Amino acid sequence: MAYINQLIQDAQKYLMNTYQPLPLLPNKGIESRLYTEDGSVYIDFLAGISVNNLGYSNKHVQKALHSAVDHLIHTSNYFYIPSQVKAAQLLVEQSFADKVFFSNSGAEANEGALKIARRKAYQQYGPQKNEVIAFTHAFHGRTLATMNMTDNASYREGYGPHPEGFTFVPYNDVKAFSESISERTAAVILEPIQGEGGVHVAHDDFMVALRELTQRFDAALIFDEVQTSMGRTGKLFAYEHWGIEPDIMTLAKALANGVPIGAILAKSDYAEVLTPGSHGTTFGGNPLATSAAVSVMEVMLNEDIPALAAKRGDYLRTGLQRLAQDQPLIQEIRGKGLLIGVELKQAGAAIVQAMLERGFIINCTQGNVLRFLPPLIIREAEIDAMLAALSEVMAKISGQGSHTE
Amino acid sequence: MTFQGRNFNVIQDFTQAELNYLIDFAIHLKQLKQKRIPHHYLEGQTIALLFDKTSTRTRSAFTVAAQDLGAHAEFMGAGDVQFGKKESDKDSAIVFGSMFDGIQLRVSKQETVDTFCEYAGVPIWNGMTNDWHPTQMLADFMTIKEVYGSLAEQSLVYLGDGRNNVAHSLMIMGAIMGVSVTIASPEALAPASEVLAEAQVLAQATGAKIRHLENPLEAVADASVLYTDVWVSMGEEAQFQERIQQLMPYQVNQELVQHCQKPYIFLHCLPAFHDSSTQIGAEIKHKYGLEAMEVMDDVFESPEAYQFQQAENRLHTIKAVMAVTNGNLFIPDLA
Repeated sequence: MAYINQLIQDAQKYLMNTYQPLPLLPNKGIESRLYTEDGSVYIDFLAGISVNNLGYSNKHVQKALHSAVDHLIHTSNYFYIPSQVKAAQLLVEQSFADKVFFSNSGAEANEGALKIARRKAYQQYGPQKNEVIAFTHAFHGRTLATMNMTDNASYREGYGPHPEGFTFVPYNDVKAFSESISERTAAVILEPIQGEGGVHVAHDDFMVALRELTQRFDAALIFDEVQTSMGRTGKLFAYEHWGIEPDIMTLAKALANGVPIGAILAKSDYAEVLTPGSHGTTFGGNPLATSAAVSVMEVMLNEDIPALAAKRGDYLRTGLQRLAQDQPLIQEIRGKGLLIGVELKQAGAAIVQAMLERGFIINCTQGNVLRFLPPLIIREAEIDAMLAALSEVMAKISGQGSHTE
Repeated sequence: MTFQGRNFNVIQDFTQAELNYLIDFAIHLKQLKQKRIPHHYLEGQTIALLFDKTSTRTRSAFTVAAQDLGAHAEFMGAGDVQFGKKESDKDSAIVFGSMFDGIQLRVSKQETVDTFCEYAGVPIWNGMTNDWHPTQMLADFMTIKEVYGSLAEQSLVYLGDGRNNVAHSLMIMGAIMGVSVTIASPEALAPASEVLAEAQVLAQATGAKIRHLENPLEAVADASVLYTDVWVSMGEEAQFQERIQQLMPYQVNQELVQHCQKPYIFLHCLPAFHDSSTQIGAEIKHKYGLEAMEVMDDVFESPEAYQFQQAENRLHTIKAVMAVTNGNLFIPDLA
């Protein structure tokens, strides 16, 4: 305990104060379990915020990483990198896309996707076609450009002046969207299922309208699949649920199961606007990250992890629905696969804290939406244990609530 | 509930409902066997039994279970399988998987079973590793259910080396099944903290209490099941003297069971050093003057002792596992 106290003090002294970490010190992870230095174990229903989709210590990923470390961690994009080519090939073969650009993060991928969309619009129609439509509750990153597509005003406060041309339209509102898109629209960006924004799932008619109207106005339809992808929703990519293809898709998080990476996937008419020198990155697609990405794709495909996520997601959702039958705190259960949101009638922070004390890491977003993002290999017995704890915690909290009324 | 094609590797892979189904199905199969009603669910299949160390019950149970299910069992011992010496486990798994319909492994390394699960492409049954003993758990809990009629409210106390595969498996199984499990052992032989922690988290689904206690008398106070195992595991024979000194207070004998405050049954996964009639037992007596080690005859031969029913149940539970994972049975969802 003395060690962690010292660490907390040092962190406060030396790190910029952007996060407020829990006073836990995980030092080992196996599958869905995180072990802390004091020997406690936690079943992780957050999975590094949807990153560790194959769980901790996946052997294939570890082996690929060991091999990359032993051979070559980094050169630069001045050379050919076999694992980068292989990762791109696998992504192209499994998706709508024709070409891939690797970056370091989801935000960087979203920035790059915007650059591609604006450059194409500029080349074809001139500088006036530059507007970007994003949606309410969206989260696309925190860089200077992407925070303008992230619907949380506090994230933007004090960072102005802001880049121009960004608009927010209500999510799932076909009418509002049809009134907002125009000849000036260069790009429309959305998460097929909003993660950070409270696990809202795009409606079918909304998706159809997005595709039709972006085609009519020749605007890029960009799907931000940073959180939904690599099997989490029960399909390798969430867009497969709707049978609608975007023009550009961004990935990150689970793509390398923990090694920082991002990717832009695009159809060739978009990909071709980039030429040597027009965009770049030092680390993006380096051997370490793309070796991990290749191994992740192999496990995803060989072991049909998306199908497993669908199955375990049904199991978790069924359990939550059963809980909701006699639990008045629960307003609505949303999501697909193992990206599940439980909207509560009150704030969820106390539940998150009580669950942590019982050995379960869950997350609350938007103040009142419990978000479940476990590794896709989570065991049903672990789900049972979490549900039992959640049931007790909710009963206790709703019981307390009724006393104060 | 889907079992077809699944591996039976570690208990954590199964839910309480699934494990209950397996136990109840084993009880059903036991009745079929007693009434001589055929149950050839694996007709025409050939299964491999791979061992890197000796085995009496596991080998017998798998062989007879295969026979009862209409399958042929092929035994291969340490001299017949490479287990990583000349051929990698992965390559062996692919080859065996291409020929056999199912594979049982009783091997030292859990990784070997994991690798087979990954690459064999046919159901893998974990017959025991240094880490886990899942088929033993089904037989143990089936026996408890047969005796008491239910697992609810049961409290199992394991006395002995808390670090071994049986103690660890009991904690996980108890956690999932809602049976409280106390491991009574000296601190030096306490269960791995990671397994204890994992069991305690899983136990929240069921309310089972999973704990480690040093004091054996305190541990057995509210026990309904007393469980012990050999003090010296396979491969640790050089440590007899040290282990005897450490574990003597945990010996299950009349003096200890008098501290049980309610009716109990005794279980042992066997073989047991309960007298000096075996060669090793005689040596122990000669060297240390001990009549028995982990359990005395006065308990082993008492009406409370169910170790032989427990041993027989290895057959029925293993048969249940093989049948549901490879027999294309119709199993309705019991949620």
